[in-house]
Amino acid sequence: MLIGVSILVFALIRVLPGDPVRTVVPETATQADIEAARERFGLDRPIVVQYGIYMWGVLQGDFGRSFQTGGSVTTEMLQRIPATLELTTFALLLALLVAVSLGLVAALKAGKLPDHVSRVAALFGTSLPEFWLGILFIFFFYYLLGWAPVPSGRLGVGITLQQITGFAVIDSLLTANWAALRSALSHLALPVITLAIVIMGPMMRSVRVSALDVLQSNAYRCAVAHGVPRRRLWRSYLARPSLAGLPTLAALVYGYLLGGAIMIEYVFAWQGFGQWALRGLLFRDYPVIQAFVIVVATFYVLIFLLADILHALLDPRVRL
Amino acid sequence: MADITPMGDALTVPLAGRKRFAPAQSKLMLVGVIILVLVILMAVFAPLLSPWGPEEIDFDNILAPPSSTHLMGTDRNGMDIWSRIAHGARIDITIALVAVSIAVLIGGTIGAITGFIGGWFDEITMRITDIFQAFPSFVLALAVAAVLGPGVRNLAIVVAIVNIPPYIRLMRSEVIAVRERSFVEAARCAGLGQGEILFRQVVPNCLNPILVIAPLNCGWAILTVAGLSFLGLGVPVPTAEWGAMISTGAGDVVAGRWWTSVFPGVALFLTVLSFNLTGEGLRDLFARK
Amino acid sequence: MEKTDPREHMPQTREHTPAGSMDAAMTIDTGSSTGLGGHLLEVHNLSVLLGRPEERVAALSAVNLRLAPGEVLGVVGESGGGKSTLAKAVVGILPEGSLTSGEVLFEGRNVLTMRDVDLRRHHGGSVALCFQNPRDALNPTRRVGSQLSDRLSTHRGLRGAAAEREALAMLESVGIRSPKKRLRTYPHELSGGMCQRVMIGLSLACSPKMLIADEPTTGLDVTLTQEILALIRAAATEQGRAVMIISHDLAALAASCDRIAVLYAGQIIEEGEVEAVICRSAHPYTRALLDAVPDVSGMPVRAIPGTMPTLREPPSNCPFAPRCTMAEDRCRSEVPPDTAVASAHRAACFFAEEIEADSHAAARHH
Repeated sequence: MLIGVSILVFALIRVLPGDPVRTVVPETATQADIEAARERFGLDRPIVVQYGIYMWGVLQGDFGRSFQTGGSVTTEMLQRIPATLELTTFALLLALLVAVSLGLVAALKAGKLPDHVSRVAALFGTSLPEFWLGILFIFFFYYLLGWAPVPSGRLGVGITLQQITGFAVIDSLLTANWAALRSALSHLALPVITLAIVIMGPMMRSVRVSALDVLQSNAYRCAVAHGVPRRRLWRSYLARPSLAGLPTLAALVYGYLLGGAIMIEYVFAWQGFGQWALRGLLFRDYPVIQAFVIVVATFYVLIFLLADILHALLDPRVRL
Repeated sequence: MADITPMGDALTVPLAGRKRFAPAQSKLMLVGVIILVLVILMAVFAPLLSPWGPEEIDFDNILAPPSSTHLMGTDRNGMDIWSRIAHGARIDITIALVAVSIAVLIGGTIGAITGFIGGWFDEITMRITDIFQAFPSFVLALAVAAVLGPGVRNLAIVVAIVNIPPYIRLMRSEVIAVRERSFVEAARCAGLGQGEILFRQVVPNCLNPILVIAPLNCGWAILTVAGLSFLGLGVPVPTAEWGAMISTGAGDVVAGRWWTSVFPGVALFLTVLSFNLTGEGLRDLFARK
Repeated sequence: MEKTDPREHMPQTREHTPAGSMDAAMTIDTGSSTGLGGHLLEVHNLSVLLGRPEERVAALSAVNLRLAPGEVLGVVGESGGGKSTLAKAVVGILPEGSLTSGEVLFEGRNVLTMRDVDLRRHHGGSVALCFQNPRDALNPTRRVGSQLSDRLSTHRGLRGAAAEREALAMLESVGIRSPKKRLRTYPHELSGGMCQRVMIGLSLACSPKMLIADEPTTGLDVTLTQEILALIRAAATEQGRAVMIISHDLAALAASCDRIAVLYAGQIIEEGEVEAVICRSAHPYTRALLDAVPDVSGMPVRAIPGTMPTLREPPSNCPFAPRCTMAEDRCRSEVPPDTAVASAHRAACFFAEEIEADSHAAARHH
């Protein structure tokens, strides 16, 4: 299926109006210059050959060279992917935490105030445009309150951090660079919270519905009737069975996160994968676009695989 | 009679919890529908409601805060924000409604046919659908938008295309569930043609989930349109559209001129919220039946 | 000599016959009486209304029962007759919104009005319920051993290795082969019979003073049924617990209980020692039930015409009257009194004594 994806994107982007070569050569270029540039990029070969050469390279980890920068696409990607991953993963974790807690509480107090409040909150969350929320937060927390740092990039000015994994939080922990850690976290705070608010809704609803089912199940009532104490009851007899369906939903949500991340990276000047791909899209930088699409599709497949594994772990009745 | 009062919160077995907040639910849905109607009215009567033209520049009042002449202030180009919001409603809502309708029609039809016929046609369709759904929807929308270029009509096409796969899936699974039912068998025995059975007998019974998803989808469609415009891939530059307005005003907000982005965002939020509330309300309505 | 409960708001549905037939403890109710004669459980005039206000069902009406440690009481009745409600009332897990009147006294304390703290201790520690349909009632995401440890740690304070040892012992004692392996299995991997054993094991792990088994033999074959019933009975005879077995299977109960109570439309229409109720039944319904079961009385099977009614409120006449061959006008307008036909054998019928004599005679011919 990934083959299908790669073929599709290869073909489609060459259908894109707009000649990538023209975005690269200077205004004064002659026709000969343009032809030369085209040859340099390998765009004069037949499409099938181009595809073959490209895929061969991909299998070896080489995604070609960017038309715009001339740099290795692979390198540029590797520099930027961790930034986006850090952002989206933290956002997902935060959202999961909140969704599970609120969902369980809402089910336990079904029909009463906390339930209504959380459902309304979830609904509000999914109706918010994340880019607008990001801007709002910047306005409140940076401009008005001065709590948040300047919304530009992942680290404050003047903070240096040795790049090991590319993840600011991990690297700063690994090198015991506390200033960098504080800076990284403070820069992460707003974008992560923004994303988390927007994706929390459907997950909270799913947890709540599952939890309500569990609360009315005979298995739960039996545990209650046998006097199992509340902590154990909530953890093993309520939470665990209620969360079985969550991984799959979280995987879908992660997909949405990837889209939202592009916009958040734009708002917060994040230097991430999404930003980079966006530029590639606008400038018809074929290798960049191709790499982006293939990586995202692969990643999405992996995420669903992970979700299946988690699901099987949570629910022993499921066979992998 | 001694009432058994709840024996501790965790130990209480909720008595059909869902039924209890039925009244609150319908209130929310009512709110949603009211807001929706108001927004649609605003869109329809935009020219009457706007003191300024949507792209009219007031050179004396650039980046002016809200005042009596400019209810919601002006942006960095000197255009009246309130007027642009009113006109923006037209674009966003029209695109959303049109695009989702197209998606429902095309997706639903394909889904119905492939669910009914099955076989290799089904296999191929689902493979193609899988490829489309291998991407997060917004990313897909981004890609298609880049291919098509800016423009209102193109935006509608983008949203429609991206939303077709889910409806194919939805209709297909409903049709598969319904086609085994006895009244379909009866229709077959009565000699009705395949097409007639499919569209007269089967499909009408599969519409419920679609009716629930469609409004929610509209909400998402509006967010997508706004998002694409925000990134510069949607409407052409001076057009009044909420996402584009937020984008234009972003830089100014950081410097303290909040009205440039806040108001369009509120409009966006309220509209999407109203669609979501309506969809949720429909879902509860059908669930109770 | 009638005593009325001053707290009762319901019209009285039973007339108590003069003392001598029934213990004074059953007619006198003062709220917090301690069980006389060592009775662990005393149910006084219990009525339960279930369901939403618009559609209430009188699941139980004026039920009176007693149970002593070491005793096995069988509660028999058709589906919908109120058996599970009785179990839930004794354990204290009636659904929210139920209305009750009367008392359920366990060791002298009324379960229906207990505070949360006491109720939690009551659950399992005092009364442990074996749920109907055990596969459904076991947590599908938790191993059998862990579920056992939960009970053991809560009620017996065992943890770690000690808990595991005890869990193994429990599984063995309920007849599970290869208990070590079973400790780590999940419920969905168990057969129906094993699920039932595990359920009994879980209940016993609570170290309860009283065990209630709700339909423990449904869906089990004959041999398994006997084994399970033997297990349950052992809880009373060997471990000294009070045991209540709920079932629609009269034959099964006859083999394993000391006493039997017959529930019909939420009321106990006959109660007494097993032999008395089976061989010298004093109520038309009991007779009819026996006639419908081939093995017990050896007569041809005769189904009972009509269906059991679902009452909306405690009845003011005999609920069996519409289906009863002996019904007279009196039966349709008055509540038949609890009539004692022998010591510790009563039936709610105007003709109890005649029926009992008749059953006795019939039995002697077999």
